[in-house]
Amino acid sequence: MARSIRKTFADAFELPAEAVSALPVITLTGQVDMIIENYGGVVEYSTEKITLSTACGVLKIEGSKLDIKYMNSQCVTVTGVINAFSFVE
Amino acid sequence: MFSPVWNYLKGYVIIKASGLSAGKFINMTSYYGINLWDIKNDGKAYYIKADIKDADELKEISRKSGCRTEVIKYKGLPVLVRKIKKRKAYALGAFIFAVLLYFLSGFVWTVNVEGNYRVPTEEIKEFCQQNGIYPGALKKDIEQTKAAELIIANFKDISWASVSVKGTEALISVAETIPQTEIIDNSYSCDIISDMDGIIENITVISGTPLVRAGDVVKKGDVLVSGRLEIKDGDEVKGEKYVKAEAYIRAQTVHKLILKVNLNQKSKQYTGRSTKRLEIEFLGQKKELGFDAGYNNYDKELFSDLSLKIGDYKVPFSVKVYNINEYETVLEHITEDEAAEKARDYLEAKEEELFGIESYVTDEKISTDVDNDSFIYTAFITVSQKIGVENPVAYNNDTLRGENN
Repeated sequence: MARSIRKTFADAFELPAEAVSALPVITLTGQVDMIIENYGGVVEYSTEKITLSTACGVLKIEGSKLDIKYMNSQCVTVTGVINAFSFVE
Repeated sequence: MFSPVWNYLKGYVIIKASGLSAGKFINMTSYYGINLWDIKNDGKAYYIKADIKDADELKEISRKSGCRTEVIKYKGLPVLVRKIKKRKAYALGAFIFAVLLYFLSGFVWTVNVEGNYRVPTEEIKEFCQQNGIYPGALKKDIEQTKAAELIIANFKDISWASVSVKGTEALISVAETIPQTEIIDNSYSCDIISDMDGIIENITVISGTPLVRAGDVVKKGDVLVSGRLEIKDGDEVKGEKYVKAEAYIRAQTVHKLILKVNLNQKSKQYTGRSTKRLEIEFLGQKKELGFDAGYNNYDKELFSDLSLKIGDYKVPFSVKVYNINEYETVLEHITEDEAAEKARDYLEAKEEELFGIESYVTDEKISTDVDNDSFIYTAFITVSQKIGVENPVAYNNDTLRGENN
């Protein structure tokens, strides 16, 4: 309910969705570097799979030689060879 | 902002987080606003890098999360500085190094000369040394303008000079004058006479009257070119003039050379015994150290040289190690062929010295003989060479004579 109100508010004022509803912003550079902003926390971490919790579900990143290059409360940078990523509700 | 260089400058800590709640620990650190980087998981534990200033807070978080953490390493510049602070001698060494570097940079260590072609570099360097520019001289004592003026005044062939000191190098730039033409003294009159027997090959007369032509056989002392010039009017000799005869004359000359080669040659045979000898030189004083092995004959071979140099400046202390190899002198009998080869090699090496630079051998007849232990090598060598020497004549004027006779 709260999410739909925020979405309606954002649409009405043409505000960026991530600013209003804390949705994750994902920036992918090739397949070597991925920056995820507005994440909740790290759920699972191995060299083949990294799982992060976000406002719109669990983000699953799969690949090889995966590393968390940098991490703070706002964003996390994943490096390695990223093969796939998906959201699981 | 988070480049490895910046992290190194700020200092960081590597933490190993293991146990079931390691994931919780990581999430909590980011929740508390602590920056983490290079998070690696080897399957058993997480290895995390974090700011050195957050180390205490991380300990607190690990206690709260129930995760087992341990600090693997402190790294970065602040750690290094702390380490150096503890090591007084290290800091002192760095300080002494800086002082020594400053002190040594106050001297000239190399002297280079450029721009000279005719004046030898060594001569200029030697002159500069007498005037205070040498490896080991204080830079502030060098009066550059005065030194340059002295160089110009001392060397006739140098028209401009400049002395500049860059770093620890004294650079002496010079410009040379235009070379003076050679002055030939023509004030006297002379003949050219032969200085050896031979057959004239060719003759080119610059001044004087030629008395021989190509193909003529000449003996030592014969006049080849006369300094007397006849002044003729038709066939009638009106007078004579005496000049300095000049000519380029080549002749075929024959030389007999006898070389004796001893068939019993002395040669060195190393015994295989060797020892080492130390030679210490300090301020020009040499002192040899080493065991006297009692060798009668030995060769001294430089094994290692531990002399120090700063630029061109030789530190007046050096240590040299020599190998002392013992040998015995034995008489070795050589064959006639070997003796002949030795004689031939000797002749070849001495050719220029014997016949002069502009000469070449045109024919060679060899005969050999053995007399007891001596091998006698007789060579008749025909050489094409320059001949002729000046022979001053009594008339030392160039007046015209005979006109009134």
